[in-house]
Order: sequence, then C-alpha cells, then structure tokens
Amino acid sequence: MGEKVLKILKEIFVKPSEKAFELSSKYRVLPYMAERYIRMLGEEGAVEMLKSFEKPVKPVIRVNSILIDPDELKSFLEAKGFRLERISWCDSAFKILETPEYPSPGATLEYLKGYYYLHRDSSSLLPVLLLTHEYGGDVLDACAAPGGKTTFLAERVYGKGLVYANDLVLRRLKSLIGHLARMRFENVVVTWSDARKISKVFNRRFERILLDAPCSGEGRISVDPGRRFRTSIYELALMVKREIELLDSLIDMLDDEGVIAYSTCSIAPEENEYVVSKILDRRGDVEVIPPPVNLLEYSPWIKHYGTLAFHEELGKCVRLWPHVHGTFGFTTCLLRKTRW
Amino acid sequence: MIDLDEFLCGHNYATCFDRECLLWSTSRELVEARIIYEGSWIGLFHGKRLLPSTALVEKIFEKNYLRAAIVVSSKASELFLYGRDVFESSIVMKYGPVDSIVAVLEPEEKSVIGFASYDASCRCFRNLYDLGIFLRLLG
Repeated sequence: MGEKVLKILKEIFVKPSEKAFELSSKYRVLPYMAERYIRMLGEEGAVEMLKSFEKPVKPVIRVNSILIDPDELKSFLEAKGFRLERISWCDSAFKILETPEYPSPGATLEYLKGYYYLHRDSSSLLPVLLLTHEYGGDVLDACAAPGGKTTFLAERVYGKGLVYANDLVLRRLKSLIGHLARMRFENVVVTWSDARKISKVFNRRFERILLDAPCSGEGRISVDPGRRFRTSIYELALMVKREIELLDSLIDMLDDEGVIAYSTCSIAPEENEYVVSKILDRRGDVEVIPPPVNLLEYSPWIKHYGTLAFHEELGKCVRLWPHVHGTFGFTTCLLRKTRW
Repeated sequence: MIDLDEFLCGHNYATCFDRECLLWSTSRELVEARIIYEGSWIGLFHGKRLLPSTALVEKIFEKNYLRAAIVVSSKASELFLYGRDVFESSIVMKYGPVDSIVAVLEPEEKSVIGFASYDASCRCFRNLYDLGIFLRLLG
C-alpha cells in the first residue's frame, strides 16, 4: 500500500458504531457508509436518505436547442405518449414523468436525429450551468465521457468557444463521439489522455475547466444498487488520492482568474470536502467562489467529519441530497485561480 | 456536379473502433497527438463500404437539390431505423437516380435517416446503415 494512500486511509477511517451496523444490514450498504451518513445527517436524516435510495429517480431529456426549440420537441414527444415536466431551473430540460410502451426515450426518431440528450437525472446539469453562467469561450471538460456534460457545454458556448473533451477510457470516448455526431456538435475537440497529464497534450491554459471526477458514484445508488457494496474504504482511499491528483493537475491548466468546477456524483465527504480541503492546504493560488446564480435551494458542503475539520470556505460549495432535492446525490464546488 | 470541398473543412481524418471507422473533417491541421475527433462527422467506413454521414448529405441537399434519394412512409422510417429494408410500396417519393445507393429520408422534416442500396432481386432497398447506428455501434 502506498504511503499517500495509507495516510488518506488513516485520516478518513471511521469506526462503525452498533447503530451503523444495524442500518447497514437493514438498508444494505457497507457499515462505514452507514456510519458516515449518521455522522453527517444524524440518525433520523441517515434513515431518510437511505430510504430515498429506494425511490426511482426520473430521467431527464435535455433539448439540443441548436437543432430544435424545446417546446416544439416537447410537443413531438407528447404526441408519442411521453409526459414531460419542465425543470424549473433549466429551460431546455424536461423530467420524464411517463413513457409510452414504445418507443423508449433512447430510441425515438427525435433522439436519433440528435434533438436531445437523455440524462439519468437532472443533477448533472448543475455544474455546466454554474460554470458557463454569463460565459462564452473555450472550456476543458477533463473527464468527459460519456458526454452528457460535454454536449451541454458545447451548446452553452456554441458560436463563442470550443469544448475540449478528454477522457482516459477509449470505450467511453466512443460513446462520446457517437453523441457528438448524433447531436451534430462541431465545436468539440476530443482527446484521449490521462487528465493528470493533460498539460502534455495542450500547450495552453483555459478560462473554464470542468472536472467531473471519476468517483465511487455513491450518489447514484438508486439506479445502480451495486454501488451499495462496491467500494471498500481502501478503494475509496485510492479514489480520493486520484481525485486530489486530478484537481491539483487541472488547476495548473487554469488561466489566472480562471474557474474550475469540481463535481462528483458522490455524497462522500472524503471525495468532496476532504479533496478540496487538501487542495486548499497545498496551494496558495486558489480560492472557493460561490455559485454565480441561485438556480435552486442548494445545500452547503459540510464543515467537519469525524476528526476532520474542513475549510470554512467550503460552505460556498453545493450539495444536492437525494432525500432533500429528489435527485442523485451530487456535489459541485467552484474554485478560482488567483494571481500570486 | 457537386464540389465536395465546399462541404469539407480541408483536413480529413478517420478514427477506427473495432471494424468501424468514423471519418471527420476539421479546418486545421492537427498538432496535438492525442486528438481522436473534432469538427464535423463526414462519413463512415462500415461493412467494407465507405459511406457519407447523414449530416454531410443533408448539407449537400440543402445547398443543391435532392438526388439519389427516397422519401419513405412514417412506418417504413421507423422500421428502417431498426435495421429493416425498404420496400417499393413504402416509398412516398423518389429522386433519381435510385438504381444504386440512395439516401433514405423520413417524410415529416425530410431529414436523412440513413442509406440503402437497391436490390433488384427483392425489388427493395437494402439497409446499409441508419441513424440507429448510434445505438448499435457507438453505444
């Protein structure tokens, strides 16, 4: 075991209580996860959240408004038997309330013509909206596949900038390219590289970077029950190490005053508050900034966990809780590079 | 005659996954080593055939006129997107020549949904590829 991983493991380790074992057995999650939920939310809150994992989350259609007006697409799809509800904080996105027996939302003619992207949930729209608020220019999407956020970014900066979409996994890049071709975005450059080494690919810096970090996916348990048991505390420590490395390397790719959105589909403080705190400890050239717009009622990041006390600034970062917001568990934190 | 250069960006590349290759076109010469796609999708190398992309052919039709194309009924469009062939009885309109490879258009917006090749033995147009390729090949 590497020295760095061991250090992380020591810092994030929490001993599960009897209550945690009880909840772990009842709601089928690992004991350390149940312990964490109790510490973050209290017993009642933990139970509420664990129960919310059982509730299905409604998928979301995000309209490619470069190709079609959202209301026009809504009419087309409703004529086929879909029932859609506009998401209050994103004009071009609709929650799917009902689907016809045929066709499925991912096999309509409108989908194949590139008129929309099908998201598992609305939460992933948030970092894109925050990062590109009143912005038109190039964006680096560092861990981009399978392409939901990339295609949204491409739409948001259409005619004003390029999206540089990078990923390490070729199989997933194939899907991303498929979506770009399907949705006819011509303002995206796709690269295949480890984002930690991306400075070797681009001899430039960016004003905006999205780092939707590969994570435990603990916020997506409602659609991927395997995640209840998939990540041991040791594997979590490995992920945390990679997340710190990714964020650190990508901040180096920012212009002065440039902004990076760090997001994960994990509710684990180890992968969020801990990671960003480590970066703030390590670097003197970055600060947390609040969301530029209040799209919905955000929950803040937590201030302490176990024996760990996090930076006060992290109160400006955003959490979406499954039991509060009715979405996947999701986090976003905006960091701005300051001049030395 | 159509000048294809009018529709391509100057620098054309292919990215291959397994046995299929996506062809794409960009306005600049690539200097970065790790780029695997940018610009516009112009074609597909699939089943030993080089075929244009639906997007490219739509651009050509927009600036010119429909040629080597068939418009098919709504039902036939749906079936075609599931990989089925098109029978004469499902064709709403023909734009010649249609004795070889044709673009297949759906009837509502007249957008290109794929390509087919005429097969005299069945008096039908055999599906070469359709937009469903995004589901089948690209996941």
